[in-house]
Amino acid sequence: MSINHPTTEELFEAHIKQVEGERAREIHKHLEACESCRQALLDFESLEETFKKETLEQPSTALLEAIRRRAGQVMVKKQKPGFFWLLAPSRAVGLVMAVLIVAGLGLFYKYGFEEESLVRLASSDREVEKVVKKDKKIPSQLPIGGAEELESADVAPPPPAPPAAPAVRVLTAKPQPKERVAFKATRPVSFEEQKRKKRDRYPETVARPRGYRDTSRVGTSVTQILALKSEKAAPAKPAASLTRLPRSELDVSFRRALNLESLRRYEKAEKIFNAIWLSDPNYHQKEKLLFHWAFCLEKLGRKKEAIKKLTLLAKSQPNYPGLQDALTRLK
Amino acid sequence: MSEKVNKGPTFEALTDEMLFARFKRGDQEAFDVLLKRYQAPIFSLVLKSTRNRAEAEDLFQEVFFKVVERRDQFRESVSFKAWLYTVSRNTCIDAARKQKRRPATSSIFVDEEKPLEIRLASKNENPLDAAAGLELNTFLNEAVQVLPPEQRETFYLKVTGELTFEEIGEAMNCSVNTAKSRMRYALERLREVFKKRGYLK
Repeated sequence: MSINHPTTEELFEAHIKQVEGERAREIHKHLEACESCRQALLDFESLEETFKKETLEQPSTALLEAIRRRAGQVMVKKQKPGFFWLLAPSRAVGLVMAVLIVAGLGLFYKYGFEEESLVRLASSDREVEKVVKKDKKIPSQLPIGGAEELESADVAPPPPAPPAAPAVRVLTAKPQPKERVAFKATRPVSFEEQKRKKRDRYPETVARPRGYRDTSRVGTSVTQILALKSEKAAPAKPAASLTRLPRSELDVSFRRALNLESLRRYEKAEKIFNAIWLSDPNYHQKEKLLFHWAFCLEKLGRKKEAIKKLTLLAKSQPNYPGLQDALTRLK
Repeated sequence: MSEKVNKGPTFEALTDEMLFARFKRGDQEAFDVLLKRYQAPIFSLVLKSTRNRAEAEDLFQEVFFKVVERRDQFRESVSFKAWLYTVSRNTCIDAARKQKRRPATSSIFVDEEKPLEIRLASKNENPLDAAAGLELNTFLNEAVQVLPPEQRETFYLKVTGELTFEEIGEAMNCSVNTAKSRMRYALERLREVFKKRGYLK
């Protein structure tokens, strides 16, 4: 008899019949002779057998039947999806929601950004006015002409302070949705009326315009890129005529135009410069206006008009910084 | 004259995976065979988890509903048995977690650190006879409570579910060797308990 008892691990492997080769023969030989090891192996088997026999429980037949029925129903449903699958109430609601979300996203991309919508709508003087009205209090952007112009634009006298009561009312007024603006723009009468009413109620107001966005932080932002894209996609029609702007709005409009110019939206900027010029030929920043206007015209390929503006500027202020260079370049 | 149509091998001769593949194609009979095959071991496993027949029936039903609903998640490369036990195990674990909020009952998947209270009639009796006198199931279930949850679960999967160690590894997300070790420790520990109480020599 071998006195080397197998380890419990080996006994267990013998129990699960996973011992092979020479060691298996040795263990078998040992088990024949060793009572304790044989008993250990028998105990393992006895324990397993006891648990196996005594612990198996059966579920009720009703439960089994319910499971069979359910499985059958699921399989039937799977085989017949068809058109009616879409008509299930929950799916129909989901479908409608999905359509609405997609439509909403589409509208957002189309009208969501104020800048793009303005460019797209810039086809009439009415809309130019709208642009001007919207741009109250928007800080000016980097003009192309030089730092001194920017400074002078920034230190331009602010519009006179509004009366106390209307200012409070304006500040508490809720901004209206963007779509509504676009919608009203397609109805000239109501838009005009609304505009007139507002002007009467809040003369020379400095309230934040609807859909105000701080464009001073715009560098190569999504807005800017989309603006350029929309300009390419839907070039604005030339304005038939330009309405004169109220004097109180000239400064704001001028800053707006400079801002647009810095965003390379020359066509829009040019329209506003033109509107300011028409409104007040003796505008207090006339020189700067003429210079930037000419720059926009140059960029739009209207060199002759640009030269005219620069010539006008040369008459009033021949030493305007950058004037001679611009003239040389254009000629 | 009725002619018997040759349907190929009988369902009983088919493997679990073949039957499940047939069920996925819409064969209800294949599902019935699978249910018949596993109703007792799965129900026993679930019953051990809940220790309450009503709850066990709910869980058992849930397990097979999940099997039906998740039939497309089953990969042919995996043993159906292992997959079924994985679903059962996860269902039981979820139920045990929920039940933790309620007054605790014993579960094979949750370690309750419950002291062993095996009620014995006589130390001199044959273990099986003694257990039979005391209600064998209760005795065995309580004896198993001394095991850590992983060993207990492995033991049940091996003994009641008759899973291979590979299948246990898949079901419990562990290696084959880990499953074997757990089983060995479980048997050793149970043997000690039974010996201590005089059931084994």
